[in-house]
Amino acid sequence: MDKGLLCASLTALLLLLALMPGAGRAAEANSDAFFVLDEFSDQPVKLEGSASYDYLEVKAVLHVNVTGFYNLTARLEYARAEFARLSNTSYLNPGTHAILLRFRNGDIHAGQAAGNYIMRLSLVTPNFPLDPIEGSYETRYYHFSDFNPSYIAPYPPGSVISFTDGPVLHAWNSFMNLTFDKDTASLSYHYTQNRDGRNGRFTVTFLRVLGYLDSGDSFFQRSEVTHEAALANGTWRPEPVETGIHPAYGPFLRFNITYYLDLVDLRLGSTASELEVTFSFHMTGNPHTSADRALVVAGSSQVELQLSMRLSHIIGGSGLVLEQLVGDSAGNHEILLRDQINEFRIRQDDFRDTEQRLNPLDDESIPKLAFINRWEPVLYGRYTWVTAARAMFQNVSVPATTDVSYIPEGAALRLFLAYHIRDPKASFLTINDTFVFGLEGDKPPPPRPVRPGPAPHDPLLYILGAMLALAIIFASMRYRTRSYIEEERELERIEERELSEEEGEPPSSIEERAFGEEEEARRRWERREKAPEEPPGEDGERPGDQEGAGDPAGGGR
Amino acid sequence: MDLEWMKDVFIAWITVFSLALLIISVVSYARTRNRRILLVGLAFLLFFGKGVALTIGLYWPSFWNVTTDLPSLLFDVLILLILYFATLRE
Repeated sequence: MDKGLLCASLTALLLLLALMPGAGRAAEANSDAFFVLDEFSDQPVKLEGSASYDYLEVKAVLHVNVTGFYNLTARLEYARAEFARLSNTSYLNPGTHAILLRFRNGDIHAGQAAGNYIMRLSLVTPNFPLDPIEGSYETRYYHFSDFNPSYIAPYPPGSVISFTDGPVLHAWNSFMNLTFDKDTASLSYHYTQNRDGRNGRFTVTFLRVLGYLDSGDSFFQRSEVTHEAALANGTWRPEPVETGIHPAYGPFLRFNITYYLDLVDLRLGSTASELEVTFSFHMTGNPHTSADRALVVAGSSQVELQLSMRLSHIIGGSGLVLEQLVGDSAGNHEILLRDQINEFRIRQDDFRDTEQRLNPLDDESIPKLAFINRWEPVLYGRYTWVTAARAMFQNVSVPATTDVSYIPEGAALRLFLAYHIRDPKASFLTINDTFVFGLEGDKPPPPRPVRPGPAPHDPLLYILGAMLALAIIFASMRYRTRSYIEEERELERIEERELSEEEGEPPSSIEERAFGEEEEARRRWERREKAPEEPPGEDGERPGDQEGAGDPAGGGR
Repeated sequence: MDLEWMKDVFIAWITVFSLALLIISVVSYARTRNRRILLVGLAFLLFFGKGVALTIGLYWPSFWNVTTDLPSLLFDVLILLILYFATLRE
């Protein structure tokens, strides 16, 4: 084959490859975090008294580069069939984190799978919510019969996923006294009412106390209400309290408290007839140093709600702790979120017109937030204020501060309120409130806005560019043509000049020219021969001039 | 600064200059019957095809979503300009 043809074919092939759709696009990679897959491990966990394994525990290692909330979903599969799933959101600081993923025996047994399971991970990071980090891990060989389904193991604290350095103490009310007896694995806690709300304090007597909500599938997921807390006379006494010893986390306690809320979206007219707001209480002993936490607001259109809240609990007394006002950027919608631990019955359609002050605290102390609703997670800064919460540990009492953030989760929106202690001496305490609510009703929520595409191209620019190129071609061609014409004209002029010279004087040959020159030279010699006989005059005139002057014909010339 | 508008101009330049060079090479081949010029013309034809494809991708991406980035376009334009003026200089 001709070499030239081969080169041309290769060039054509490369051009075609370059023209493939998307060939020129460079995808921006998610750099918030990555899985350290080499350090993954798995092992079955057997609880005390169990005949077989109760959990399959997988240790996943994650390196985080950005501070913020991370949502991790882990799916356990075999032969591409999923039989267990875990999900959780945690606030992580930069660094490497070990994540313990515990899959329940019941789920594994229901999967009826024997072999090396595949755990698929999906991590939604703060800066790339639409581009989760994926990972997968192959476990050791397991047989589903190794996991005894007859015993449903209690959940580990918080959720089935535990971030080892995440917020470790979740509690709502800062006016609660907690006492735990490690010998009897019992926890007592007292809600102290006080008009100024400042006398409440935590006293942690045992550092591995765990309490968590829900008997459902996940700590954060809504489940059936199994218990309701009844608060009376300043003491919070839940109904049946389940206690026990968790092999990994020590003594635990769990109970449920449920609040009922009515959501009314005045703009859309949709309502969520009953909304469960979950307050969580659990503690563990990992001293948690609370650093300044940036607030990541990952908004969604569901922020654009009018929230009317009705708490069904009758606590009596007073004690509204927190009030928040959330609005969208256009100011068309606001959410006024109030919660309190007291008698709080409120049903109001438009909080923008009237605000009810149920807080015994000074009005100025009521925190209000106005967020700008965005789809993309935007760092809005830290919203912190001193709340009435106080923490006491080893005779150090410090005020708590509050961070607020909103995390969209599908059709629901999760509101995180975190109260944490800034004093490093007592910074082990972090209190989290989690509100999960979604939209229901006859009108769907506003559609998720699509990402703005690239600006449309203007054909006029294309036409102008083409005209400019044509102008360049035309100008260069014209210049080139002109140079040709000028060259031709120059040739014509030379030719014409030569022709005109031929017409005036016939061309002389070389011989003729040589003969003429010889004649001329001879004449000059003869003149020179004559010249010495006549000396030049005094006035210096040349002999020829004198000769000329004496000649009447010459003088008349 | 958004330089996305320059894509329109550059793609137009690529199309027009490659077409001009294609015409020149076809005319030259017709005069000289030199097969090398035919191969050069084939290269310019591919360039012209690229320009047309990019034009389609620019204004009718639903039909054919051909994209490229601005630096590549700039290089293409420079290459074609140099070739064009080199041709003009004989």
